[in-house]
Amino acid sequence: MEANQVNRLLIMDSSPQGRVVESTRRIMYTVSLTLVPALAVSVWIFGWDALRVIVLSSLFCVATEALIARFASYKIDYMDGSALLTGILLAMNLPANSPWWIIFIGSLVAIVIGKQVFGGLGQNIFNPALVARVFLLISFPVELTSWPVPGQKVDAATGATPLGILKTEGVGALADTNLADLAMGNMGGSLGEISAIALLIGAAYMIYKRYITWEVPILFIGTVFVFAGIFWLIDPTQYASPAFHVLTGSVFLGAFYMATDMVTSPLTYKGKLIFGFGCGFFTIVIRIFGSYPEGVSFAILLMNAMVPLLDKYLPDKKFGMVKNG
Amino acid sequence: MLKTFKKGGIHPPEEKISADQPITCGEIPAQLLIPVDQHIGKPCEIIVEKGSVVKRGDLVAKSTGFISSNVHSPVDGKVEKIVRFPQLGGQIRNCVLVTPENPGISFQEVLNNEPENNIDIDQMTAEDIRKTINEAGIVGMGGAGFPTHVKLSPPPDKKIEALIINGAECEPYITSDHRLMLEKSKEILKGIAILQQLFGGIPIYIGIESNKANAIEVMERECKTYENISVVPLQVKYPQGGEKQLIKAVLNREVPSKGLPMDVGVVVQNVATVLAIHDVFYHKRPLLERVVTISGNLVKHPGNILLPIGTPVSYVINKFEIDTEKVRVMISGGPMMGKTSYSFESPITKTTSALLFFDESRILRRQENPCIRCGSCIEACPMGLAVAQLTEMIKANNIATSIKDSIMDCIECGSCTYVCPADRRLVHWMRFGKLMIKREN
Repeated sequence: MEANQVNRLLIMDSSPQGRVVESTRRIMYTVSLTLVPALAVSVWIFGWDALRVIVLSSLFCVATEALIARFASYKIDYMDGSALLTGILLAMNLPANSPWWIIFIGSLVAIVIGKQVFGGLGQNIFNPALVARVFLLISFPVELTSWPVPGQKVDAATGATPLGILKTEGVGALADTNLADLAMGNMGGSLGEISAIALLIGAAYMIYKRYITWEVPILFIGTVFVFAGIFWLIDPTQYASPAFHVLTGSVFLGAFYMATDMVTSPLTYKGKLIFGFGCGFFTIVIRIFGSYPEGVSFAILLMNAMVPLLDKYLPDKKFGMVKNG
Repeated sequence: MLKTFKKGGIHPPEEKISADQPITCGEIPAQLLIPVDQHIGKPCEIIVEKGSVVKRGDLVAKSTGFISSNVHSPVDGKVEKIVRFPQLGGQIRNCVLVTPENPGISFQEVLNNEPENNIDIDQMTAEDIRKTINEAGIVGMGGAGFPTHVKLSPPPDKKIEALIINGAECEPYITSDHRLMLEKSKEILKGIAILQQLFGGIPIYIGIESNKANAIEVMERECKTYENISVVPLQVKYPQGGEKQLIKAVLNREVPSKGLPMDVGVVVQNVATVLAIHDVFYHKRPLLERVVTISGNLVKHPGNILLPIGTPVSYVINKFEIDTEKVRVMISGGPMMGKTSYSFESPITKTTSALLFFDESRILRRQENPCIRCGSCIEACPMGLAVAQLTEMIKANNIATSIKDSIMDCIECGSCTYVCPADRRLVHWMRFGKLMIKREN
């Protein structure tokens, strides 16, 4: 029993000696998979052109990240699924007839300016896909607002989104719009804007897996509904119905997939409530008073900027914050 | 709906594979290596030297202050030498190497030779009880090793209204407390009665998680003969065995930040500790042995064994026929909070509730990935701390006052590291931060 007779084969490690099977890769790929129903609907509505946008966008995003990983001083796992997810989400924010160079520029902006300049995964303040979408919308307004009409194939006529019609022609032009069509996605718009139901299926699974919590999406959609409802009650001939506002544009995509992005949403309960409310509030403000027909992207980016403040000043109550028992 | 604590908590696989194995007794090993410092507090002073002859129950190291604890020899024998030796967990500490007089005789035989005393607990004063417990060197046997007599001596301005007996045993694999409650229920209740006498008849709650249904049944049956003692079945959730979580679960009282259980009028004692208290009074023997769960995927026949303090791990390895060639991870305590060790000759201590042996399948090759702010750690934290942000601040060496308060509330249960999808060593960084703050002060 000599004191220095130490078996060096044993592993020394700090506890705990166990962990869950969950991993970053698993989360990213699962979230990507939950988008499959929505992607399927977009391919069904817009044809193979939609698939082209999705594949190109995913490829460009992963390739950009791989290229940065090649030259970065720190380790970047470009196959962890986060770049792929950004690519898919970017595709869902683009029209099906986007030319390849729009997608290419969008991917570059998303990965380089949206993510890597901040320090890579987990460090970015703004949702990378939305940064790219807003960049493209401002830089190439023509390409980003000529939407293919549902059911038509390549090179077909383009039209406006229901929100675009609302902005330019007023609520009267929407008289024959059918809410069921809107819920199913039978309307003009970018890939992910169209089917609320398909997005809900994916979101339900994410909530079941606890990847997202209910606070942000419910408050986001609820706030849009309530504020749109207030305006609608004031003057139904001038303002669209709350159901129309909720089902059109990217409210569902934004509420379930953009605003709930783990990296760019608050960590605390109260923070999430205010974040969700703010997203909905700014969406309606921009839609009704702004010059753009759609405000979801801007609203989420605005609220993204508030996240560090929300986390800092609205912390969760910790255990033992009591005066007496 | 069973009671539990509300904030955070996780559900690791229970793996209580030794739950049906009765407690066995081994033989007295060929050599004992009695660690001198097995408790939290001031180090002991060794009072034997090379060549000293010790009897079972003799003092080998004396406590040097209020928060300190005596150490006794569990066997008759001779002190060979005093050495510095790696403990379970890795620290190198002073140990007294004792060669027993009769190695190889059954430990059961030794126990049988000790008569049971009849005592009248109504005649004992609180001072007597505290003094006896102090002299017997009893420490919290759940894992922390805080001297028991200190916990039982609240300052006069803190009125103790309830006593909670901790039978939660929320760590995976460990079953030693479970077996004690099944096999030594009468003795445990006698021990509880002594504590009830000490605090003047306050209500006593025995918190047991519902995965130990037979223990709940046995303890409930035994409780009927006593007044004001009841069993509280609890939901299975880690870390329910943590003092603050247990108090929240049983009494719905929240120990204030930086406070102690006595701030809400509660004292918590582990079942093994209570049994040790029973032994002091009814067998006149100080804390000399404890039940250890031997488990893990390399142990073919997992079990629970009563071992004298100071038994080297190698004795257990021979007894349970563990293939040392395959052992890559050896944990003293449970996998959540237990410590890895590197020497098969390290001795077991008063706080070793389990020894787990695993092959390479248990090695976590953790590489920290970037935090994706998923919030799992915050959700899992039983203290409601913003772990992800706190660890970032520790790494940046940015320790403002407000952060200090939060970090010091960390109970180091490891739930955050367990759930982190990015493999970040969150609890490790929390411990590091706490250490830095302690050093500053």
